[in-house]
Amino acid sequence: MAQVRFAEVDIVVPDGQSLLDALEKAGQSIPSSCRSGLCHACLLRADEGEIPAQAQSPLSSRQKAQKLLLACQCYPTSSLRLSVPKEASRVKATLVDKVPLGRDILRVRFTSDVAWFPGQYTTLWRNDTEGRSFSIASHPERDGFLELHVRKRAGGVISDWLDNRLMPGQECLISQPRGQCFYTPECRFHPLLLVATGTGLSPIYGVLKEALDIGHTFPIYLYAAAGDPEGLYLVRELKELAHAFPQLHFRPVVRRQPEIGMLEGDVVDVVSSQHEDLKDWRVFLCGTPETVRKLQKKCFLQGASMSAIVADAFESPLNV
Amino acid sequence: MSLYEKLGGASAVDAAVDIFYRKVLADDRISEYFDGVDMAAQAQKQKAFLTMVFGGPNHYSGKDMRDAHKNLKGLNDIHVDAVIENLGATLKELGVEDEDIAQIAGIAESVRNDVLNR
Repeated sequence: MAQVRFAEVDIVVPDGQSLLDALEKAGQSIPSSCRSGLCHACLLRADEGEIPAQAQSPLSSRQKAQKLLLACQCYPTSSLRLSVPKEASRVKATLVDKVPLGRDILRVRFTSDVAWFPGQYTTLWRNDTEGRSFSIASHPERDGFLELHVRKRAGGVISDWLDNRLMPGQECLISQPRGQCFYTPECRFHPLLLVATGTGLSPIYGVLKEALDIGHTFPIYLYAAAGDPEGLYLVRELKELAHAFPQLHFRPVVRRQPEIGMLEGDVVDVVSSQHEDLKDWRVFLCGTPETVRKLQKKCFLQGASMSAIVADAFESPLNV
Repeated sequence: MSLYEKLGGASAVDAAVDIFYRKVLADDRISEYFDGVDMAAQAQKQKAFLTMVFGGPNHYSGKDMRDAHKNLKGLNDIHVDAVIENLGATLKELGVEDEDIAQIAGIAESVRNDVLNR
């Protein structure tokens, strides 16, 4: 048990409860999204006190030096005085348009005065405390807008708001884009393996277009996976890209009712059986955590270096 | 020249970590301890471990080693033996001389009690 002070209020954090949970239970509004230490939405600063190592382990040395911590990963054992850091400040974005892609995906485009690499992610904020993170499919200069693919969910905190409330021309706040999922010049002379489940295609599409734009001539294998063909999207666009760029091999994978040109099965099995030697490959895996983790292990055991695998697991609450 | 320099410094660690981690994951005696861990973070920890046993610059603290392993149920000497064996096999594969392997295994041996919280 530990006592913390936040917004001039003293709050007790019981053993086994995260700082984030305790602050929320005490009625404080703390920005949060994934609650798994990945999205960094719940970044706080400890103005006084000793920060548990676990609360800082996903942070950079620069952030650690600034006494920042992740509230969802913090189980304090001694007293802390906390505040919301200025660095967590958000910038305005204006909705340009929203277009349905396939059965349940919404493509939203924003303009905003921020910089990013295609494949990184940002957090969209509906209000001060409710936000969700989404990966970016577009390029800041080439496209000029920030494109996100959002799965529509009934009762979704952000997806429902995007679908039904926020209108083109209206503004909202977004966090500075961040994350390690993007194409680097180092990838250029290696074959690429890109695997997406669901809206994992958003960052993968960003990485792919960047690779093609930079002139990546080594082979690129892109697997996009869904339960059934209706769950896939951008299929026509990707087929056209594969036609225009012979180095690109596009392989849609579904678990049931495959159409012509699609592979049937679990994407982990399909990819690992098709790519038995991944030595010297550069690998990007984006989507549901379970699939991403299984593939990360498979790819590593099949020869990809750990440092050559980017694993972007979408740890999201159900009410996206 | 230190052992670490002789082996090739940070690039030797980079070369060793993938081989070592693959051996660990393939070893039925210990692989289940690595189920569900963040693999990229685990690889970083193994790099720190390899740097330490190669005699390189490190921030090894017995307390960290104890904290990192204290919640692993049933951890015993068999598991530490397995790790040291995999380390030796990795070094052999990289062409490190037997004499140097023995020295590295000796450093790894020195953290056994921290790992097992004795």
